[in-house]
Amino acid sequence: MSTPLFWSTPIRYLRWASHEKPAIFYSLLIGSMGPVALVTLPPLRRALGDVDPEPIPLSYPLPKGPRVIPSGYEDK
Amino acid sequence: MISLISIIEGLLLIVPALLSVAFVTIAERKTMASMQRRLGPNAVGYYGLLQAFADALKLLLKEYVAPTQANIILFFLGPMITLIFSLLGYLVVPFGSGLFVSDYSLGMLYMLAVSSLATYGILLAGWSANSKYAFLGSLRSTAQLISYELILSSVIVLVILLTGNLNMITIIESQRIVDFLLPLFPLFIIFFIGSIAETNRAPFDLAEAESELVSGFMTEHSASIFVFFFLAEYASIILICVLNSILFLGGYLCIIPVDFLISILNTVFSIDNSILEELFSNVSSSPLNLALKTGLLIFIFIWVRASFPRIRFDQLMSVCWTVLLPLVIAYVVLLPCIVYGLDALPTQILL
Amino acid sequence: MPQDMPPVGGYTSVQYKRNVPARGFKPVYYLVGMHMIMAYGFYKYFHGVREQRELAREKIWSRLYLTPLLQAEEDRDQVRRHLADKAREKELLGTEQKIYNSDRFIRPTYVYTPSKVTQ
Repeated sequence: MSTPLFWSTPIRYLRWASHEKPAIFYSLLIGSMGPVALVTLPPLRRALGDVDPEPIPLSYPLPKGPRVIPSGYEDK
Repeated sequence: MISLISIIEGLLLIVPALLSVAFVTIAERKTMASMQRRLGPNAVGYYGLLQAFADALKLLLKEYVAPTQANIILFFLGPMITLIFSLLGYLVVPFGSGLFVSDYSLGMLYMLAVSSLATYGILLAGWSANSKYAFLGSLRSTAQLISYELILSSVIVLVILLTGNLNMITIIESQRIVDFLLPLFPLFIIFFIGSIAETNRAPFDLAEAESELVSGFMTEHSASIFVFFFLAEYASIILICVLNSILFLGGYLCIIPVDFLISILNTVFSIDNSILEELFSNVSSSPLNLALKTGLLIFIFIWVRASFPRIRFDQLMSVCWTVLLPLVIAYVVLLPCIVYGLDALPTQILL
Repeated sequence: MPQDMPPVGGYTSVQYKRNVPARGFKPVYYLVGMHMIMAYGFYKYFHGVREQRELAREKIWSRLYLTPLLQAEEDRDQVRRHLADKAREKELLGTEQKIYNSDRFIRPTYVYTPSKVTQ
């Protein structure tokens, strides 16, 4: 069996590659799952009832009431 | 007074480390002997336990031979560099909760740096001996070490991804969630293979393949400087086993879930404030856990040495660059995506 | 003369098959099993990290609530020390001297603490 070409017979080539170059084939497979996981995981976990936690505050929260910004004290 | 205490602290670490090196050599010989249906050393001391000291004494008493054409300074410096740098790695290892010499915030980075510097000792020793056997051996060794270090450091990057910190203690404590053996299972196997290769052990011990190169880079080294190499080799084996158990098996954390055990025992009879609870709470993060895990890994090192045939040098290199490295890179791509997709990046606010 | 006959009960069977150890499962099962272990690990890790994050949030909020109290205590101490400093200066020099060319209050860079603490 000759080496199949990727462009003419892609399925056969993948089959051949999974047998003859398993490390590289499965590495590409596993690695390409990464971007897929990036797209599919957030909706999936939200569907399973996970709520995105709000960011942890690093300083005092801004007060809710109206803010009076003083004027007339700016540097000239 | 302070300096005296720090000297004693260092000695308290180095002396047991060297003692454990001595006993690992004898453990290796006995274990391999029993796997090959031999007796192994059994004359010196009870059960042959003092064989390592007898060997060391013999080597120290021997006459050392320095080759006439050798670069004497580098010839003696090489083994010293190797030994010193493989012992320096012990500095940042936390052996139990609160049992460490240095709680260095960049401990993992330090360990990587120190373990790469040991390569220079091998290179210097092989080159300065002015023998082609030693030179070829050192070239092979350094090529192997540098190639496999790539894999080790890439795997460590993924552990850092899950801990968010380079401090060894933080790495261990963040495994109270789950031992990283589980989420990083394939990477543990890759790391273990890499660490066998990194320590120049069988089946990757091409540097000192008896049938090909006489004794690798240490062909010309004899007597006490040979002891240095020998100690460095076994010290790095123990160190890398400790590193394996810190990164993946939870370091000094208890193997059995103690809280779970206590709650089960509490249903049968109350053990609160009893000696049993005291015992459990002492065991839960004692150095014994680390020792058990490391001992198991060292046993697997010896087992591997006794079981597998040595592979060829081109096979060694192609396994590293075309099998392990693509796999590691695949996980380097996959795992950050999963962690980010789960919104589970570790918090940087230290607790 | 008795002829050479086969033993009673026939010959024992000759082993012609090789004793090849079992190869285990198909490699794909190992691949899948390994990733199942990883999935379980990440499930545990996910919950652990979320818990860690909530603990961090708790710590930050406790800091935020505590800080005004600590700050007020420190300010009170500084004011007391400042007034004591002024009094000491007046006792030593007789007059109150301005060292800065402005009337604004300037927080002292160095604080003099007496060797004997009375209060």
